This record gives sequence, structure tokens and C-alpha cells, in this order.
Amino acid sequence: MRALCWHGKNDIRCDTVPDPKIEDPRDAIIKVTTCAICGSDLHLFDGFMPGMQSGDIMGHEFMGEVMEVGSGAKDSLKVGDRIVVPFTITCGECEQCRRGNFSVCERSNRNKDIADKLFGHTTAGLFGYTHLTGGYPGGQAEYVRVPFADKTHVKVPNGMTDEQALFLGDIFPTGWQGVVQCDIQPTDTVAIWGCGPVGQFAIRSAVLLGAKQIIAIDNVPERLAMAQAGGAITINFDEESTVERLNELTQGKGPEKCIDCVGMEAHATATLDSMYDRAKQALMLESDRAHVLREMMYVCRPAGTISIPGVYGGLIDKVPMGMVMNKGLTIRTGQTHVKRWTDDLLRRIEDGQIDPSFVITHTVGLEQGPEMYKTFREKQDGCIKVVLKP
Amino acid sequence: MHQHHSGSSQQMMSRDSARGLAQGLGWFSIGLGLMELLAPRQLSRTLGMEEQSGLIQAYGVREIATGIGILASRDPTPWVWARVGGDALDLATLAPAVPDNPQKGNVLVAMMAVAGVTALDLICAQQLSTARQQEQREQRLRYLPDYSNRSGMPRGVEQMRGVARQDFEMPRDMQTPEALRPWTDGRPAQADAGAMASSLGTATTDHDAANTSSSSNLKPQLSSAQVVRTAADQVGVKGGSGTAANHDAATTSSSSSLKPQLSSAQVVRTAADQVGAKGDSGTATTNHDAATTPSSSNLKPQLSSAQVVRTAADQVGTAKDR
Ligand SMILES: NC(=O)c1ccc[n+]([C@@H]2O[C@H](COP(=O)([O-])OP(=O)(O)OC[C@H]3O[C@@H](n4cnc5c(N)ncnc54)[C@H](O)[C@@H]3O)[C@@H](O)[C@H]2O)c1
Ligand SMILES: [Zn+2]
Ligand SMILES: [Zn+2]
Repeated sequence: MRALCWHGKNDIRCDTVPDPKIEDPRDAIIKVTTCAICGSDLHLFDGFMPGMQSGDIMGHEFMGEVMEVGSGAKDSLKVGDRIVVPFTITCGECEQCRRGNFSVCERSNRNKDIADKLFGHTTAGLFGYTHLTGGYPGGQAEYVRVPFADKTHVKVPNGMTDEQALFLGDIFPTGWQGVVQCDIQPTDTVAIWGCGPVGQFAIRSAVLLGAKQIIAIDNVPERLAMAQAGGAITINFDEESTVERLNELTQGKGPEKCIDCVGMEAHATATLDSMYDRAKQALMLESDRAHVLREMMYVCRPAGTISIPGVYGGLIDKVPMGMVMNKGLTIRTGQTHVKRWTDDLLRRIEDGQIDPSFVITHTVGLEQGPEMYKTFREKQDGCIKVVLKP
Repeated sequence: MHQHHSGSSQQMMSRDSARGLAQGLGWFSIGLGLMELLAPRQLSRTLGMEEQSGLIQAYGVREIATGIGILASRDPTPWVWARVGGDALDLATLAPAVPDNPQKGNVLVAMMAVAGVTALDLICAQQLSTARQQEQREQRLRYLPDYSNRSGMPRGVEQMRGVARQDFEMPRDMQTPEALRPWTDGRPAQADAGAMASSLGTATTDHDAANTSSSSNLKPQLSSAQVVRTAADQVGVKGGSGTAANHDAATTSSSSSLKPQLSSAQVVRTAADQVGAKGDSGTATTNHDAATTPSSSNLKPQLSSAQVVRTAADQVGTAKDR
């Protein structure tokens, strides 16, 4: 089959690789009908996440048709079902899964011992996202093996298009959890850094969850336009000071809730700390750039909440813990517990509260994937979300 | 179209000259690196830092690596930034050697030389970065699609505001504790946005002035570390003994000139402060500790932990998945 494979920094190719096979009774094989490139994939493309190996199949946002079901998954899946696959692989039985903390499933990471060493304790297995989280071949491919398939799926109702359902596997629940973690009150101002796909869904989620005022921050005009269409006031950080503007919009008190939808590759702005981060990251003294985090800690209202769906991989530097402590801020973060939200969100799509396909700007075949990684990263051609059709 | 053209050719020129400068810095890096690597003893003696010759060799390796990076990579930008970081490190290593050093004069000359090169590095790095950003921006401008109708909410954004409040069950583990929820008139807020908003608005007007002034006081573009520092300074906790004055100057002026045209020496000094000066408490010993930190306790652990991540990752990379 054909699949997009990682061969090193800036090097993703459409290769021909062996088809996946059932390896465990709880597996299923699906034929991918639609998949997507995620901002998290860019961290791999840019070589910022450790633990990739040449030839690894990329992709963790995908859906398709069930082709084959292992004996242990027969009760909940049958050949021909249309499913979206959550990017966090979940056993559904361990203590964390039973609490709904699916992204820290204790069993689905088959490289648990290494994750234990690196993070202290293992997290869930992920598709196409380094060997630290299991090294599971990803979904930017014609076929995928889905481990723990009896639990790791969302059935798509008839009549719902791929484009409407696909993002239930990652970015819609990710934006949603980012906002839910803030426990929005009707009086809240929510500031959202980053208007990529995750930020866009965070904005819509904040609308649905009834925030009083939503402020979105980025420097890409068309992304800001899409943010505004979703009900946000926008700040272009190239043109104005994020902190000054946020204070202005909150009578000098700062937003109660701050959400980082940018992650470890925050753009350098014309600030000292950005330059410092850049230099240190290049020297490998720091793995992640923390500009957005620092800005959030600085501007967040005392007793407020900082929510971090943006991905960080390792170490950051100069974190103003004094601000966090003295202002009594709450920080919540994590990979998304996808399955925890999908039933509810699926219903909202069916109900017409939201149509997630709004975010798609590019649809191409799998073989055009490698060049689309560049287009997406460079934000060329108005690119916000790329969907691939294997 | 026309305007664009002239604009971009100008940028091309500045990019080309920045690239030329980068080449030069690359060779300079390699030269200096070789010297540090091959003659660390002489160097350390000249600087009155005999026990540091191992460190100097390590810095030599760093210089050579960045030099090769600059010369060999398609885009030298990150490597030139790495040089800026390296300069800060050099300065942070030299600075503590100034007091009670028999070769004080030499150290000062070395620091001035490093500062000079740092200025070049910064100018080069910034020009490269700006050129790159400009190129990207231009590329984007070529085709600016209109997404202003992509609300994603077929029934309208305002109609959807708060609909999930009616039926979404907030998970207990993510709820805001009672005490952190908004209060009004000494009671927890009701889920009535309008009423709350207006009552909050009136209740808090008198505090607003104070809040605003204090926040505009500390320029937001400062790195947070500096903000802490500046704030601390304002309260009267002065920085490390000898450098207090410099240090204030640096923070103050950078707060007033945030845009790309930061005076490079200040940036360096502050960067060096950030790398080196951990203790603000001001006694000579603290200062000394802080300044040697980058070589011993501060950077090494960071370096090694960053490398641990990578090494562990590489191990994983080669391990076979079960
Ligand atoms: N927690 C999870 O489970 C999860 C799931 C999916 C994605 N993510 C992460 O969410 C983040 C965003 O994903 P995405 O797909 O939207 O990626 P993206 O790269 O398209 O979006 C990031 C956006 O942030 C903007 N940005 C950069 N620097 C900024 C700054 N200083 N201030 C404000 N905005 C800035 C960029 O211009 C860009 O539009 C990534 O880190 C991704 O890895 C997390
Ligand atoms: Zn993702
Ligand atoms: Zn589990």
C-alpha cells in the first residue's frame, strides 16, 4: 500500500510499504477513506519531537471502512462499519480509562518501559507519533491496523460526510477539551493563542460553552479572518501588543481563561524572550519554545486558569513560576481524552450546532501529501487544514 | 503587482547581504573554535582562568559545530541564532572572571571582542529572520482567500452562544473550585451572563485605573524573567553587586525599545544576565555562583536532560516495537 513515511527532518515521502495485518485479537484493519495533516505532525516534520525512526508511517487523524476484525473486537465492530479512529489508543479497561483519562491509558503504549523512563509514567499509545508512544504506524496511508479497536473507534452515522466526522478523531475534541478544562463561566473572557485548526475549534467550543468574550491571537491574516467568523475578537501580534490589547479588552484585569493552541514552536515575536528561546533551542539547550506560555502566565487574571492543549515535548526554560504561584493560577493540560467527548460532540454535529468541515481549505490525494506538509507549515496558499484522500 | 516587485527585490538584497555576513561569521566560528580546541591552555592562561581549559575546549567544539552549520545548511538562520546564544554563554563565562583576576585587562578585552561579534551576530540573525518572514508573508499575500464566511455554525454564531450550557455535563475533575468562580455581591455568580456582566462592570470600575497603570508600567514585550526582575528592582531589591547599575540600564532601555531595533549590546547583556545571573540577592558570592553556573550546574543539567530526552528517544528509535 502507499503511505506517507517520515525519513528525517523536512523529509516525508509517499512510499510503498507492506499492508498491515491483524496482530492481536482486539485489532481491526481499516481502509482509510479520509485523513488529515495535524499541527502535531509539523513538530515531527520539523524534527522537534524525539523518537522517530526512518520509515515510520505518519498520521493520527483518519477514518475509514472496517475491512477485517480480530476475534476479540467482533462484538463491537463488523466489516463495513464506517469509523473515525481517535488518535489516543485506549484499552477501555485500565484504571485511567475507566476514569475517562483515555490519553493516559496504562496499557496501550507497547513501549511502556521507555515512556516510564522518560515521563516517569507511561501515557497512551498514539498513532504515527514516535516510538515513545508505541511506534504505531499512522493513518496517512491506504490501510491502518487499529489496536484495541473494540474501544478505539467512533461509529459514524449514515448521512454524515467524512469531512464532517473526521475531526472527531482529534482537533475538534482537542479544542473542546482545551475549553472545557477552563470550566467557562458566562462572565469569562477567554483568550486563545493560535488560530490554527485547534485554535479554530477552541473558538467554536468557547462559543458553544457560552463564554462572554473570546479573543483570538495569531499573525496569519486569513486564520484571523476565520477566527473572527467564528465569533472571536482578533489580535494580530505582528501589529499590536498582545498583552496590552488583552488588558484593554478586560478593563486592565486580564482574561480569566487563557488557552495555548500553539505549542512548542511558537513564532519568535520581537521580544527578548523569543530570541533567547530561539538561540537556546538551536543550541539544544532547550527543546521547546515557551513564549506563549510566559505571555499567558503574565496576562492571566489572578485566580484564573491556563489550559494547554498545545503540544510540548521536553524542556522549557525561564518559566515564571513566581507569577503562577503568586497569582494562584490553575494549569490544566494533556493530550486529548478523545473518547470522553466524542459521543457528545457527534450529537452536536448531527444537531447542526457545528459543521466541522468549515476548517478544511485543501483536499488532495495521498501522493501530494509531502508537498502539502510544506504548504501547511509555511501557511502558503491560505492553507489552514489539509485533508488527504488515499 | 509592481509595488510588490520593487519591495521584494530590496528584501532580496538585504537577504543576500545578510547571507554574506553569515558566511563570514561561519568561517570566523570555525577559526575561533579551532583555536579554542587546539590551544585551550594558552587561552585560559591569558584569561587567568587556568582551571577552565576543558570548558574552553568544549566551547571550541560548539563554535566549530555552529560554523559548519552556518556554512553547510540551506538556511543559516537558526545557526546564526545559535551563535547569538553562544555569545551570551561566552560572556556569561567571562564576566565572573573579571573581579580579582590577575589578567583582568585581558578578560575585559576579550569581553569587548565578544560583544562586538555579538552585535554582528545579532544584526545578521535579525536580518535573516526578517527576510525570511517577509518572504513568507509575500508568498501568502499572493493569494489571500476569504474565510470571513466560515463560521462553522450553520445556524449562526450568536444563536449558538451557550447552547452547550443547557445539556453539557461539566466533568467533575475539570470544574473550577467554588472559591475560584466569579463572585458578585459576595455570592457565587449565577449562570446569567447579562446580569453578571453588568454588575461586575460597575463593581470593579474603581480598581480599573490602578490595574491599568501598573500593567502598562511594565512593558509587556519584556521577557517575563525581566519583568520579574524589573518589578523586583522597583520594589528595591537590587541586582548583583557590581552589575546592578548596568543591569538596570539594560532592562529599562530594552523596555522602551522593544521593536527589532533593540540595541544589540543590551540584548546580549540581558541575555547573559538571563543565562548567568540566577541570584538577584546581590552578595559577591551569589554573583560568583550565578556566573559560573552556566558551565557547571545550570547549563549542564539542562543540556544533559535535553540530551537524555534525545538519547532515550534514539534508543527507542532503534528498539524494536513489540
Ligand atoms: N493536546 C492534544 O491532544 C493536541 C491535539 C492536536 C494538536 N495539538 C497541538 O495543538 C497545537 C496547534 O495545532 P494546530 O493543528 O492548530 O497547528 P498550527 O501549527 O496550524 O497552528 C498553530 C498556530 O499558532 C500560531 N502561532 C505561532 N506563534 C504564535 C504566538 N507567539 N502567538 C499566537 N499564535 C502563534 C501560528 O501562526 C499558527 O496559526 C500544536 O502544538 C499541536 O501539536 C494538541
Ligand atoms: Zn493531531
Ligand atoms: Zn486503558
